[in-house]
Amino acid sequence: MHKKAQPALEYLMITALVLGIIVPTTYILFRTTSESNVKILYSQINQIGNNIIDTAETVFFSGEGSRIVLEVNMPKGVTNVKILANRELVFDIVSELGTAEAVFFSKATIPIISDDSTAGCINNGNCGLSDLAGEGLKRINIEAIDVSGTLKVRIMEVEG
Amino acid sequence: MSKSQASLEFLTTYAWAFVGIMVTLGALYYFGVFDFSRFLPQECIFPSQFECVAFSFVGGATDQIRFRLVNNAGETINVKRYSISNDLPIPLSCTNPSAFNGWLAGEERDFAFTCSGGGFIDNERTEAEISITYCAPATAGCTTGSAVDHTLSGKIKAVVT
Repeated sequence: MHKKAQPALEYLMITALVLGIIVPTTYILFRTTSESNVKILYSQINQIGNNIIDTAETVFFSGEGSRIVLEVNMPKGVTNVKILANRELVFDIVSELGTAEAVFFSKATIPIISDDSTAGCINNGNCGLSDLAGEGLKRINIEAIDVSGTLKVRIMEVEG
Repeated sequence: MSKSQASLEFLTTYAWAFVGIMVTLGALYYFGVFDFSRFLPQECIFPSQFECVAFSFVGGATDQIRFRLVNNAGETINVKRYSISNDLPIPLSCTNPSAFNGWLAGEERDFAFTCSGGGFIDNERTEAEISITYCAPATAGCTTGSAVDHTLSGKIKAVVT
Protein backbone atom coordinates (compact mmCIF):
# COMPACT_ATOMS: atom_id res chain seq x y z
CA MET A 1 0.00 0.00 0.00
CA HIS A 2 2.75 2.43 0.99
CA LYS A 3 4.78 1.54 -2.04
CA LYS A 4 1.93 2.72 -4.28
CA ALA A 5 0.98 5.78 -2.29
CA GLN A 6 4.47 7.24 -2.05
CA PRO A 7 5.12 7.63 -5.78
CA ALA A 8 1.58 8.92 -6.23
CA LEU A 9 2.16 11.62 -3.63
CA GLU A 10 5.57 12.45 -5.08
CA TYR A 11 3.98 12.69 -8.52
CA LEU A 12 1.34 15.06 -7.15
CA MET A 13 3.96 17.22 -5.43
CA ILE A 14 6.09 17.51 -8.55
CA THR A 15 3.04 18.34 -10.66
CA ALA A 16 1.99 21.00 -8.14
CA LEU A 17 5.51 22.47 -8.16
CA VAL A 18 5.64 22.61 -11.95
CA LEU A 19 2.18 24.18 -12.12
CA GLY A 20 3.21 26.64 -9.40
CA ILE A 21 6.05 27.83 -11.65
CA ILE A 22 4.24 27.75 -15.01
CA VAL A 23 1.00 29.50 -13.97
CA PRO A 24 2.51 32.71 -12.48
CA THR A 25 5.15 32.91 -15.22
CA THR A 26 2.45 32.70 -17.90
CA TYR A 27 0.36 35.33 -16.10
CA ILE A 28 3.25 37.80 -15.83
CA LEU A 29 4.33 37.13 -19.42
CA PHE A 30 0.79 37.65 -20.74
CA ARG A 31 0.30 40.94 -18.88
CA THR A 32 3.70 42.30 -19.89
CA THR A 33 3.16 41.29 -23.53
CA SER A 34 -0.25 42.98 -23.80
CA GLU A 35 1.20 46.23 -22.43
CA SER A 36 4.14 46.04 -24.83
CA ASN A 37 1.68 45.55 -27.71
CA VAL A 38 -0.05 48.83 -26.83
CA LYS A 39 3.27 50.70 -26.73
CA ILE A 40 4.28 49.24 -30.09
CA LEU A 41 0.89 50.20 -31.59
CA TYR A 42 1.21 53.80 -30.35
CA SER A 43 4.74 53.98 -31.67
CA GLN A 44 3.74 52.67 -35.12
CA ILE A 45 0.80 55.10 -35.38
CA ASN A 46 3.06 57.95 -34.32
CA GLN A 47 5.56 57.09 -37.02
CA ILE A 48 2.87 56.76 -39.73
CA GLY A 49 1.09 59.99 -38.74
CA ASN A 50 4.27 62.06 -38.62
CA ASN A 51 5.41 60.55 -41.90
CA ILE A 52 2.15 61.57 -43.66
CA ILE A 53 2.21 65.10 -42.24
CA ASP A 54 5.90 65.59 -43.10
CA THR A 55 5.27 64.33 -46.63
CA ALA A 56 2.23 66.62 -47.00
CA GLU A 57 4.46 69.55 -46.05
CA THR A 58 7.09 68.48 -48.59
CA VAL A 59 4.65 68.19 -51.50
CA PHE A 60 2.93 71.45 -50.55
CA PHE A 61 6.15 73.42 -50.78
CA SER A 62 7.17 71.56 -53.93
CA GLY A 63 4.13 73.11 -55.63
CA GLU A 64 1.07 72.04 -57.55
CA GLY A 65 1.25 68.62 -59.18
CA SER A 66 3.98 67.28 -56.93
CA ARG A 67 3.20 63.87 -55.56
CA ILE A 68 4.69 61.27 -53.26
CA VAL A 69 3.36 57.77 -52.68
CA LEU A 70 4.00 56.36 -49.23
CA GLU A 71 3.82 52.69 -48.43
CA VAL A 72 2.90 52.10 -44.83
CA ASN A 73 2.08 48.99 -42.90
CA MET A 74 -0.99 49.89 -40.91
CA PRO A 75 -1.08 48.02 -37.60
CA LYS A 76 -4.09 46.16 -36.23
CA GLY A 77 -6.36 48.37 -34.11
CA VAL A 78 -6.85 51.40 -36.36
CA THR A 79 -10.63 51.56 -36.80
CA ASN A 80 -10.94 54.86 -38.65
CA VAL A 81 -8.88 57.67 -40.12
CA LYS A 82 -10.23 61.16 -40.82
CA ILE A 83 -9.24 64.75 -41.42
CA LEU A 84 -10.75 67.52 -39.30
CA ALA A 85 -10.90 71.18 -40.24
CA ASN A 86 -8.40 70.70 -43.08
CA ARG A 87 -5.51 70.35 -40.65
CA GLU A 88 -5.93 67.50 -38.18
CA LEU A 89 -5.18 63.94 -39.21
CA VAL A 90 -6.99 61.70 -36.70
CA PHE A 91 -6.52 57.97 -36.16
CA ASP A 92 -9.16 56.17 -34.09
CA ILE A 93 -7.52 53.32 -32.24
CA VAL A 94 -8.83 50.36 -30.28
CA SER A 95 -6.32 48.58 -28.06
CA GLU A 96 -6.16 46.68 -24.77
CA LEU A 97 -6.46 50.10 -23.12
CA GLY A 98 -9.77 50.83 -24.85
CA THR A 99 -10.49 53.43 -27.51
CA ALA A 100 -8.16 56.34 -28.13
CA GLU A 101 -7.29 58.95 -30.72
CA ALA A 102 -3.95 59.88 -32.18
CA VAL A 103 -3.98 63.35 -33.73
CA PHE A 104 -1.38 64.85 -36.04
CA PHE A 105 -1.51 68.53 -36.88
CA SER A 106 -0.50 70.02 -40.17
CA LYS A 107 0.63 73.61 -40.21
CA ALA A 108 -2.31 76.02 -40.41
CA THR A 109 -1.08 77.23 -43.78
CA ILE A 110 -1.04 73.72 -45.26
CA PRO A 111 -4.64 72.55 -45.77
CA ILE A 112 -5.08 68.79 -46.11
CA ILE A 113 -8.04 67.04 -47.72
CA SER A 114 -8.93 63.56 -48.94
CA ASP A 115 -10.85 62.28 -51.98
CA ASP A 116 -14.07 62.54 -49.94
CA SER A 117 -16.64 64.47 -51.97
CA THR A 118 -19.22 65.03 -49.22
CA ALA A 119 -20.41 68.51 -48.26
CA GLY A 120 -18.75 68.19 -44.85
CA CYS A 121 -15.39 67.78 -46.52
CA ILE A 122 -15.88 70.47 -49.14
CA ASN A 123 -17.40 73.08 -46.81
CA ASN A 124 -15.86 72.37 -43.41
CA GLY A 125 -12.76 70.37 -44.20
CA ASN A 126 -13.99 67.31 -42.26
CA CYS A 127 -13.01 64.55 -44.64
CA GLY A 128 -13.24 60.81 -44.27
CA LEU A 129 -10.15 58.75 -44.94
CA SER A 130 -11.47 55.39 -43.82
CA ASP A 131 -9.70 53.55 -46.64
CA LEU A 132 -6.55 53.85 -44.56
CA ALA A 133 -8.11 52.06 -41.60
CA GLY A 134 -7.60 48.36 -41.12
CA GLU A 135 -4.55 46.20 -40.86
CA GLY A 136 -2.15 45.73 -43.74
CA LEU A 137 -0.03 47.43 -46.37
CA LYS A 138 -1.43 50.75 -47.61
CA ARG A 139 -0.19 52.85 -50.50
CA ILE A 140 -0.96 56.47 -49.72
CA ASN A 141 -0.91 59.06 -52.46
CA ILE A 142 -0.05 62.53 -51.16
CA GLU A 143 -0.44 65.18 -53.82
CA ALA A 144 -0.50 68.97 -54.00
CA ILE A 145 -3.55 70.06 -56.00
CA ASP A 146 -5.26 73.31 -56.82
CA VAL A 147 -8.79 73.55 -55.42
CA SER A 148 -10.59 76.71 -56.56
CA GLY A 149 -7.38 78.68 -56.59
CA THR A 150 -6.08 77.36 -53.25
CA LEU A 151 -3.21 74.92 -53.06
CA LYS A 152 -4.18 71.93 -50.92
CA VAL A 153 -2.63 68.56 -50.15
CA ARG A 154 -4.83 65.59 -50.99
CA ILE A 155 -4.25 62.37 -49.07
CA MET A 156 -5.83 59.20 -50.45
CA GLU A 157 -5.20 55.50 -50.69
CA VAL A 158 -4.22 54.14 -54.09
CA GLU A 159 -4.80 50.56 -55.14
CA GLY A 160 -2.07 48.23 -56.23
CA MET B 1 -10.99 -7.01 8.03
CA SER B 2 -7.30 -6.31 7.46
CA LYS B 3 -8.08 -4.87 4.02
CA SER B 4 -10.72 -2.46 5.24
CA GLN B 5 -8.47 -1.42 8.15
CA ALA B 6 -5.66 -0.63 5.74
CA SER B 7 -8.03 1.35 3.54
CA LEU B 8 -9.32 3.32 6.48
CA GLU B 9 -5.79 4.02 7.71
CA PHE B 10 -4.79 5.11 4.22
CA LEU B 11 -7.75 7.48 3.95
CA THR B 12 -7.19 8.85 7.45
CA THR B 13 -3.48 9.49 6.86
CA TYR B 14 -3.85 11.11 3.45
CA ALA B 15 -6.98 13.05 4.40
CA TRP B 16 -4.89 14.69 7.12
CA ALA B 17 -2.10 15.30 4.63
CA PHE B 18 -4.61 16.84 2.24
CA VAL B 19 -6.07 19.03 4.97
CA GLY B 20 -2.53 20.08 5.93
CA ILE B 21 -1.74 21.04 2.34
CA MET B 22 -4.98 22.99 1.97
CA VAL B 23 -4.36 24.91 5.22
CA THR B 24 -0.81 25.71 4.10
CA LEU B 25 -2.03 26.91 0.70
CA GLY B 26 -4.73 28.99 2.41
CA ALA B 27 -2.14 30.61 4.67
CA LEU B 28 0.16 31.37 1.73
CA TYR B 29 -2.77 32.88 -0.16
CA TYR B 30 -3.77 34.94 2.89
CA PHE B 31 -0.28 36.40 3.16
CA GLY B 32 -0.29 37.33 -0.52
CA VAL B 33 2.23 34.79 -1.82
CA PHE B 34 -0.04 34.08 -4.80
CA ASP B 35 -0.59 37.75 -5.60
CA PHE B 36 1.49 37.59 -8.76
CA SER B 37 0.47 41.09 -9.84
CA ARG B 38 2.99 42.54 -7.38
CA PHE B 39 5.75 41.13 -9.57
CA LEU B 40 4.49 43.20 -12.51
CA PRO B 41 6.24 46.50 -13.20
CA GLN B 42 4.60 49.82 -12.35
CA GLU B 43 3.69 51.54 -15.57
CA CYS B 44 2.28 54.71 -17.02
CA ILE B 45 1.10 54.22 -20.60
CA PHE B 46 0.11 57.20 -22.72
CA PRO B 47 0.44 57.74 -26.48
CA SER B 48 3.82 58.98 -27.67
CA GLN B 49 2.29 62.38 -28.43
CA PHE B 50 1.69 62.91 -24.72
CA GLU B 51 4.51 60.99 -23.15
CA CYS B 52 4.21 60.18 -19.46
CA VAL B 53 7.54 61.08 -17.88
CA ALA B 54 6.72 60.59 -14.18
CA PHE B 55 3.93 59.19 -12.04
CA SER B 56 3.05 58.16 -8.51
CA PHE B 57 0.11 57.04 -6.41
CA VAL B 58 0.50 58.95 -3.16
CA GLY B 59 -1.27 57.35 -0.19
CA GLY B 60 -1.52 58.35 3.45
CA ALA B 61 -3.62 61.41 4.06
CA THR B 62 -2.93 62.78 0.56
CA ASP B 63 -4.56 60.09 -1.62
CA GLN B 64 -3.47 61.53 -4.93
CA ILE B 65 -2.79 60.19 -8.39
CA ARG B 66 -0.01 62.30 -9.86
CA PHE B 67 1.58 62.18 -13.26
CA ARG B 68 3.56 64.41 -15.57
CA LEU B 69 2.95 64.54 -19.31
CA VAL B 70 4.95 66.25 -21.99
CA ASN B 71 3.13 67.68 -25.00
CA ASN B 72 4.82 66.05 -28.00
CA ALA B 73 1.91 66.83 -30.36
CA GLY B 74 3.85 69.74 -31.82
CA GLU B 75 0.92 72.04 -31.18
CA THR B 76 -0.38 74.26 -28.39
CA ILE B 77 -3.50 72.66 -26.92
CA ASN B 78 -6.33 73.53 -24.55
CA VAL B 79 -7.32 70.94 -21.95
CA LYS B 80 -11.08 70.98 -21.52
CA ARG B 81 -11.96 68.18 -19.08
CA TYR B 82 -10.82 64.96 -17.45
CA SER B 83 -12.20 61.59 -16.55
CA ILE B 84 -10.56 59.00 -14.33
CA SER B 85 -11.77 55.58 -13.29
CA ASN B 86 -10.90 51.89 -13.14
CA ASP B 87 -12.58 48.50 -13.51
CA LEU B 88 -13.08 47.67 -9.83
CA PRO B 89 -16.61 47.14 -8.45
CA ILE B 90 -16.27 50.43 -6.54
CA PRO B 91 -14.35 52.48 -9.10
CA LEU B 92 -12.03 55.37 -8.43
CA SER B 93 -13.75 58.62 -7.61
CA CYS B 94 -11.50 61.65 -8.00
CA THR B 95 -11.52 65.40 -7.72
CA ASN B 96 -10.19 66.58 -11.06
CA PRO B 97 -7.72 69.40 -11.56
CA SER B 98 -8.88 72.52 -13.39
CA ALA B 99 -9.08 72.74 -17.16
CA PHE B 100 -6.53 75.07 -18.69
CA ASN B 101 -5.54 76.65 -21.97
CA GLY B 102 -2.20 77.10 -23.67
CA TRP B 103 -0.31 73.86 -23.08
CA LEU B 104 2.65 74.65 -25.28
CA ALA B 105 4.36 72.16 -27.56
CA GLY B 106 7.24 70.50 -25.71
CA GLU B 107 6.05 71.72 -22.31
CA GLU B 108 5.74 69.38 -19.32
CA ARG B 109 2.63 69.60 -17.15
CA ASP B 110 1.83 68.03 -13.79
CA PHE B 111 -1.62 66.58 -13.12
CA ALA B 112 -2.92 65.66 -9.66
CA PHE B 113 -6.21 63.95 -8.87
CA THR B 114 -7.39 63.51 -5.27
CA CYS B 115 -9.02 60.08 -5.20
CA SER B 116 -10.96 57.59 -3.12
CA GLY B 117 -12.38 54.10 -3.78
CA GLY B 118 -11.08 51.98 -6.65
CA GLY B 119 -8.70 49.98 -4.48
CA PHE B 120 -6.74 53.10 -3.62
CA ILE B 121 -5.30 51.63 -0.42
CA ASP B 122 -1.81 52.12 0.98
CA ASN B 123 0.73 49.52 -0.19
CA GLU B 124 -1.77 47.96 -2.58
CA ARG B 125 -1.36 47.87 -6.33
CA THR B 126 -4.14 49.48 -8.32
CA GLU B 127 -4.69 51.09 -11.68
CA ALA B 128 -6.28 54.22 -13.08
CA GLU B 129 -7.68 54.80 -16.56
CA ILE B 130 -7.41 58.46 -17.48
CA SER B 131 -9.09 60.37 -20.29
CA ILE B 132 -8.26 63.96 -21.11
CA THR B 133 -10.36 65.93 -23.59
CA TYR B 134 -8.43 68.56 -25.50
CA CYS B 135 -8.38 70.59 -28.67
CA ALA B 136 -5.94 72.72 -30.59
CA PRO B 137 -6.85 76.44 -30.46
CA ALA B 138 -5.26 76.93 -33.88
CA THR B 139 -8.00 74.70 -35.33
CA ALA B 140 -11.25 76.48 -36.14
CA GLY B 141 -14.01 75.48 -33.72
CA CYS B 142 -11.81 74.59 -30.75
CA THR B 143 -12.97 77.41 -28.52
CA THR B 144 -16.55 77.57 -29.77
CA GLY B 145 -17.70 73.93 -29.64
CA SER B 146 -16.73 70.31 -29.36
CA ALA B 147 -16.49 69.34 -33.04
CA VAL B 148 -12.71 69.26 -32.99
CA ASP B 149 -12.29 67.87 -29.45
CA HIS B 150 -10.09 64.84 -29.00
CA THR B 151 -9.68 62.31 -26.24
CA LEU B 152 -6.32 61.33 -24.89
CA SER B 153 -6.46 57.99 -23.05
CA GLY B 154 -3.86 56.53 -20.75
CA LYS B 155 -3.46 54.01 -17.98
CA ILE B 156 -1.32 54.00 -14.86
CA LYS B 157 -0.58 50.86 -12.86
CA ALA B 158 1.23 51.46 -9.62
CA VAL B 159 1.45 50.71 -5.93
CA VAL B 160 -0.02 53.29 -3.55
CA THR B 161 2.87 54.49 -1.38
